[in-house]
Amino acid sequence: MTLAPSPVAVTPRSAEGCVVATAAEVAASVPQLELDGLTLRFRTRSGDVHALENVTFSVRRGEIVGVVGESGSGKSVLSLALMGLLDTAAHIDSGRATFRLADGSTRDLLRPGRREARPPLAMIFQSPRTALNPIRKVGQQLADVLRSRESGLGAKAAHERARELIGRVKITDPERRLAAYPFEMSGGMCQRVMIALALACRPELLIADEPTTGLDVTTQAAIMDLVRELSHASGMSTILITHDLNLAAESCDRIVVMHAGHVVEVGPTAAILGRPRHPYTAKLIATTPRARSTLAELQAIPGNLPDLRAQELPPCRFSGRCDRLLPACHEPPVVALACVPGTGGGGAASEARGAHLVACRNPVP
Amino acid sequence: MTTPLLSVDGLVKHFPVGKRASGGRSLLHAVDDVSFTIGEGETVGLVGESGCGKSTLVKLITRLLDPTAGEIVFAGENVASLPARDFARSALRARIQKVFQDPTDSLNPRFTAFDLIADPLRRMRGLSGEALRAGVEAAAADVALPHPLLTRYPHQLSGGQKARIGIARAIALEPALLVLDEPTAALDVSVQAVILHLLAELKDRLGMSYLFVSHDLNVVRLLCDRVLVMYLGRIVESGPAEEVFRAPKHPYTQALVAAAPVGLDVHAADGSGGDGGVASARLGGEPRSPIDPDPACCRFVGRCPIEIEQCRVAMPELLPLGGGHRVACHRGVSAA
Repeated sequence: MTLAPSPVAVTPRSAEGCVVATAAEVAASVPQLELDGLTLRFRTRSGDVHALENVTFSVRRGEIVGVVGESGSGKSVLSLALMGLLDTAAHIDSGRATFRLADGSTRDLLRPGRREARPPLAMIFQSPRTALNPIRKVGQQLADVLRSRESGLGAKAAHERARELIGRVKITDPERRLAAYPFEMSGGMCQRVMIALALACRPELLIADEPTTGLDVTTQAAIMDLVRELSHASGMSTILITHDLNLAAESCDRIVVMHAGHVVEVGPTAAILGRPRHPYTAKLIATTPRARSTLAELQAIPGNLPDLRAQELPPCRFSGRCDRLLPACHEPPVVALACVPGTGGGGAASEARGAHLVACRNPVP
Repeated sequence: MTTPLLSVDGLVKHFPVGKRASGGRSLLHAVDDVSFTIGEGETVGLVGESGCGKSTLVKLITRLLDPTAGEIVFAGENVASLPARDFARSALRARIQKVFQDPTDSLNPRFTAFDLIADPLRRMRGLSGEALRAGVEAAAADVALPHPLLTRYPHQLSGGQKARIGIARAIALEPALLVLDEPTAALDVSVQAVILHLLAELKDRLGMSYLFVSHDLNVVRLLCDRVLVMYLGRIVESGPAEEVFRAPKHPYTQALVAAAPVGLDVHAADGSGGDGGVASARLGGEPRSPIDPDPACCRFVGRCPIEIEQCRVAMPELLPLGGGHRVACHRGVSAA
């Protein structure tokens, strides 16, 4: 089988022939979070919604992993599951989310013990207006978070820290803003307060659910610089949930592509975007406006996500929208993630080391 | 040259915000001395960060707010002098329509898709019965909204379908100017592509002019002929979209273009990845307060990487550079 040269020419290949990271990277690659086979349903009156199925990926320390996909692909449910904020209708069928604490011990985020302290996770929620308390001043909300984490912190010290945090997310006139209610601020300002709240507890894993949606490009750039700086300097891991591939491309070390509750492709950013293997990833790239494309080049993705309430979901949930469909695609079992064809064996285990995995019977060459 | 459809001249909007220590009221200069034109069938983009006065400018043009000073000449008539309350009943009102930012929040949840599209036709045209039905169905067909969906409520529709309704109710009255306030900001990328194609097609077919407000430069570039860049209430640069994005002259536009994520191009072009485009300069400093600003000082002072002494003593004017490209910067011409 002949194959065009991989765009990731500098990356060495392992013995199995699968693209992996360099030795130095492997040494530094302590997985902060290993998500293994998460399957999740919502039980509703109109049947079970199969929101996530066998979602597997990992996040290394200090790494920014992007989770991309359309709305309805399960990105937000995934983050809520990790945070332990799932709706009561949600039912986790299987899977583990192993989170490594600073002392080396591990914790399963999907089954939090009642008496244990919450692991150092923080989340930036999608809509800051609904996530902030409307009847408490911004300064009080920041102080609440700070004082709940540090019991000995006095009111004055908390205020001082809140002020510092507000400054870090580049909010002007901090004294006035700390005394303001969320409704007195613009959407962009509220989003920055939300980010300040998330950073207040110095998280080891930050889940950012569309953190810059609705922000201007200049603010977005500043916020993402901040997240990158924190990740790379203090070793904070970040899961960046977004549907803006341009943003993911600039910020993420690796990208997880989700479609209708399945992970369809995982790999280093350059490999995923430079040479997508799953037809969905390729279509997602073609539909994103770029700095150098024309309107005619912008292609819509045909069809819609399948109804996840269906009793019998097709093994490939993209089959209804795919133009590379084979007869075999309609047959079970569900295709598992595997190293991209032509690069040899390996398996899901090599994912954390930077392998490029795809779940497709007829991947894009 | 033919007379433009919309001509805005020296438009000013000040909001009173509390009292000054010296007596009198403090004024927030939301829109300050803004002048521009939109030609027949032209698409003009309006970009700038939040709080720069984009929305206020849009509200002034759609006459939802009364300007403090200045002229808005629409289709040969100065509509600025007409109080907003009276403009609602003016015949010109139907010719300026707006597509709102959030397709969910801007639709009445207790109206069906049919009622939502019919509402402007009832109020502005006084249509009823069969004529109303025909008008609604024509507008729905224009935006390719399937007929069976007209009986549904907004919560039964997807984001893309709601966006189509928002556009359908705006174009039902056959406006001459359509103001689009971030029409795709709340949509998925895949749906955004569909809506952008739809907007481009409608413009060609119906010959409308667009004022397209967005902060996504990649989207503005795709759809717009000309672009206006606003900073703290003033237009700092204007010109052909391609030209402004390729060779921005104002330091603010330069920062804006540099901040736009272009990651895909970096990866797709050579596949080598890396952090290309990330290292570009970020704007430092803080924006100046829009409350009682110094009239003789450039608004960008304090964040500008190339400011000179002159910037603090004289407000730069929007001067032509040739080819319809204008920039308001003392150093704009020389720094290029």
